[in-house]
Amino acid sequence: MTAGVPGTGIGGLFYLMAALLLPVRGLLLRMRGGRVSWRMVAKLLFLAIGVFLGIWATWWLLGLAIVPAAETVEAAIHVRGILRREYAEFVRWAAILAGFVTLAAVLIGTQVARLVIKRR
Amino acid sequence: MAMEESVPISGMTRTAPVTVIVPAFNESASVVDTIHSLQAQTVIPAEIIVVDDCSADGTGDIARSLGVTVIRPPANTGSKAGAQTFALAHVRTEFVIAIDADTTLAPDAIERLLPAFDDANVAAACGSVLPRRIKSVWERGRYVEYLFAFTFYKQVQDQYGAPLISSGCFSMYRTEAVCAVGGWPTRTLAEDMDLTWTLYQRGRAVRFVSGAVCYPIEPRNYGFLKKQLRRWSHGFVQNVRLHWRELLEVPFLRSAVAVACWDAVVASVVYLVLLPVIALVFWNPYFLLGYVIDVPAIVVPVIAGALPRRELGRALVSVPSFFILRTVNAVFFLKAVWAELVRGRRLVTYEKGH
Repeated sequence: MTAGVPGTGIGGLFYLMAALLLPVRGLLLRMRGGRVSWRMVAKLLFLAIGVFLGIWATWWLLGLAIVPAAETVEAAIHVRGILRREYAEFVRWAAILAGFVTLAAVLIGTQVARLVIKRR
Repeated sequence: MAMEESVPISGMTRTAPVTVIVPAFNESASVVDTIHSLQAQTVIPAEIIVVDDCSADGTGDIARSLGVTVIRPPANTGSKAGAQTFALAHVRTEFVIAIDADTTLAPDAIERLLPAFDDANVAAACGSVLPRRIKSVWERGRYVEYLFAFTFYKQVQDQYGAPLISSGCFSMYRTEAVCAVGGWPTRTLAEDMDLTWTLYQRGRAVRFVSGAVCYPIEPRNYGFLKKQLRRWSHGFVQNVRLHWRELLEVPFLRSAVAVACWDAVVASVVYLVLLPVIALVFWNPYFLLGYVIDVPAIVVPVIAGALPRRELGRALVSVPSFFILRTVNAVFFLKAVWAELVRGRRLVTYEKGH
């Protein structure tokens, strides 16, 4: 079973970051005398780079979708001062940043919960 | 799946100290394929035990005619976990495999799983899962979901030493480890997740071996899918509720579960409520692109998983089904969270749905 909704939300970002960090983790593990399957690390790293390019494509698609959407938003909320292109850039970056900020908040929240429970 | 030829990796067939438990309730249509695939393994299990959980369709007789051990509890155990635990008392080998009665194995699956136990701390190991039949929209959706998850998520989890679940449809365990926790727990509807997380809490390790492949029959229609998703989503919520304190002490797993919880709830709300509301408010269909905006990121691991199997065309054709399944998945997760955590209505009935 797959918990949650695969691909949507912060899950994809979490596993992407985890895969990108695998070489660093491998080095640290190796320095402590642990065994590392570099072949698997390389395989997952390449996969993560592919997914990263996929996210970049998403970012690009988002831009294509936002410009037409911005016309309606402009009309609906009468945003006259903001240029359509700037609005599209803002939404595009905001969407990506929101994902990373949410992921960071969830991970930090988990650590805080752990410390609180441990103290009790 | 076409029956593949058994060619042992090591070059010679041998018997392994493994007992296979096959819980079966009215599985006469599928248990034959399961037993044949076990008997065709490159490493032969010492014993195959079919637990005929008081079937009414002759499952026990069919299994017995194939030369395996058949045991029958005095009354239906009520769940897969109950049937498996009933059989545990009959296991005399170092390792035990639990496999669903509608699941077949690649011929070298057991041989590939065994080396994971070279590390004495490893208590469980599982392999990749792929649907045996890929025809209906639900089977195609599940096929893409599995290609994605087992090519990317599960392999990353294994690198960090914490696969989220040792899959219930096919996993191998160290017998003493399962006995030490009293067998497969029946307190939640996802016994595989419960057992995996219990093993972590006891300091044991779990491994994922991507090359060990099993092929379950996935729900082909909405009726079966509904039962399966209800069981999985309620099982997930029940396990988080049961284990969350102890999970906080398991590195990586705590983060993976926290992220899964967030996505199960918040991403589902965004998916099911926010996107259509925004599209309606602004009366602009472009916002609905949010449903498929992550296609490029999804497709990369799917292609990576399909290419070595020479199934690229089938995988790409199946991608749209994944998005339909994902939407249905989101509905069931939200309903499970609402029922279990808000209304306090715990789902306790184990409904068979593949």
